Amino acid sequence: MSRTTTVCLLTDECIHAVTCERRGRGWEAVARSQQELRLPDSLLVSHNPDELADAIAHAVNESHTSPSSITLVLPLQWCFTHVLARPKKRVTAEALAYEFEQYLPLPLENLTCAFVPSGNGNMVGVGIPTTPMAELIAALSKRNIYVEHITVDAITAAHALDSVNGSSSVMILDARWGRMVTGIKDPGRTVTAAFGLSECDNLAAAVAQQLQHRALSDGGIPPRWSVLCLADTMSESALEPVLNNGEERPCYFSPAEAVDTVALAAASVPQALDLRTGPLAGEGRWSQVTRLASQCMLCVLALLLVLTGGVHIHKQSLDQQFTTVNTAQREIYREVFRTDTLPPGAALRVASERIRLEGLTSVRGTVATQSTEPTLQPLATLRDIVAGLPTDVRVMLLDVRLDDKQLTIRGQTLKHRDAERIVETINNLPELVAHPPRTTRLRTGGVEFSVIATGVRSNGQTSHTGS
Amino acid sequence: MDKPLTQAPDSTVGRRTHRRRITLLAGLLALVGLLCWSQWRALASTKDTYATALRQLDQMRIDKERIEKLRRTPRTATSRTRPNEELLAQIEQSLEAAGIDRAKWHDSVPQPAVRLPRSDYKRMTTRLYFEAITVKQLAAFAHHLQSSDPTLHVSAVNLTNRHTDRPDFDVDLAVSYLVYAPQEGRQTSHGLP
Repeated sequence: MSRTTTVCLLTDECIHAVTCERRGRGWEAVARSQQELRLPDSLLVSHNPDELADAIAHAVNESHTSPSSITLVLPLQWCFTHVLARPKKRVTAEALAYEFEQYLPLPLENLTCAFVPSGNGNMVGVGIPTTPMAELIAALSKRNIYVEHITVDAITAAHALDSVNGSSSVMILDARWGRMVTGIKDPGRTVTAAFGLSECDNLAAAVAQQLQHRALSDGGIPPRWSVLCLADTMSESALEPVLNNGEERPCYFSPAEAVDTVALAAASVPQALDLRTGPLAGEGRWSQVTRLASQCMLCVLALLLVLTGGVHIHKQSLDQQFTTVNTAQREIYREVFRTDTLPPGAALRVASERIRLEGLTSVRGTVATQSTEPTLQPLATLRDIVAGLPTDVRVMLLDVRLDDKQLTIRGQTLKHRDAERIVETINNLPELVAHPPRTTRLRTGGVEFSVIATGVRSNGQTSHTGS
Repeated sequence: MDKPLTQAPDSTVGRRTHRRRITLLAGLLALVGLLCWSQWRALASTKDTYATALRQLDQMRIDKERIEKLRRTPRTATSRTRPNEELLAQIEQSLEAAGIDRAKWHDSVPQPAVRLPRSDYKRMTTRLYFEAITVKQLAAFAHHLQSSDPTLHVSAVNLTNRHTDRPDFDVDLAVSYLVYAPQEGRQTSHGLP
């Protein structure tokens, strides 16, 4: 799976977007585009970040790729640099920054710094103004372009070219700007320099002067060095006096070659110098996804809060209604039991009271007496028998036993027939069945009889069979 | 010292901050989710409680009307076993009202309680023994006894005529009343959920 990245190279008059694709161990430029825009000489002069962002976006879009992130290559002109002496012990970037601050025209708080080790052990401090860069990054972000790395052209090119042709000293020339870096990889003197070329009439003389002034004062021209020309208007012949100045002719890169070289260097070694750190640190490649996730989570959070609030309000309302019901229950309980306190399970107590009262009154009493056994009302039965006796029958009761199940009568009468008529009277009662009487004639006259009758259920079945 | 040194990412815009924000949001989300879930559970519980209370209130209203009606209805059973002294006092009053001489009341024997089969009632019976009372007096006594306390009734009568030349009898009378005593574990219809 090939990996693609877009490098955006800022030069003085033009913005180059180069799409680089990783092939094997190296990178290859697969698409190029450019957008002309005159860049300010410094980030500290007033400029419109949106205008610059528009130009970058245009150049990136022109390269017919849809990158999610780009590497921004800044000109050395926009940076503050200083070579710091070799640290005596391991130090952090923050500690070096305090040392770096004394050579800066701005407070450290306004800069984003990084430190590149040079060949002789010194550290090259590089700082860019934070605020304008942050504005530019934000403007690009609005145009859906995420800046993954920020690097500096001369330093990145010096790193890359050292591994290509062994020349870690480079000079990059634009129409208006020139910058050079020496000693990044080799043990010679480390120099970083940015200079203007717009005011000079003789380009070669101006470059030569810078060479003499900056780099060659104590070491001469480095044995191997490269000149990268980014301006189309600048020809190699115009630089001939400079190129032939040293013992060895430098590698010359035409504008097309120079753009590719710097772009590939930035694509391959962004870690050589990355100013997307400190205050300019990015939120990561997945920042948009995480931002979207954050927004989604916020929405869900708000939804949940609203839902929770709604549920809470509904619960409050139900609680109020429950209180009303509870009050009504207390009122009923108070009316039933004449007490103001509402015990737990009040409804059960009221129901129990209802059941108890049903049990104590005729309703449940009737139910209770509706057993399978017949029940006689003794006195009422006796009254019914006496009331039902024929008026011409004379009877003397000797013994009457009557309970809720059985009637036993022993008495005396005048004739056997009268005993039979007594039994007929008993049988006329619906709740009794009498057996034939047992009679005995008395010597003194008359008949003694005994009758047994048993109670019956409604279906006529007798309850006792032994009588 | 071959690698470049860079400042630590600024905490205000750095990835760590972003990660922290995501973590915080996730934590908040979980917390609010938990809160919402607990509120939801509480609401469901309240709904159930409210619905139950509403049903109970309806049933209580029905029960209250029934109770008011039942309280106006004469009782046919008692809720407790009455003391023997109380019963005997009531019998004496009824004897007096029926015009029966106290001396004719010979004896009284309380019987053991008997549970009516398949019911919530126990029958308490006391046997009373009288000498030489007429059937009319017996009926008057029974009438007064039941008038003074509707729960009392005569459950058995034994009349024995010892002197054939007189219209009175020796009477063995069983006076009973029902005690409402629901059996434990026996199902009763509360009509409640």
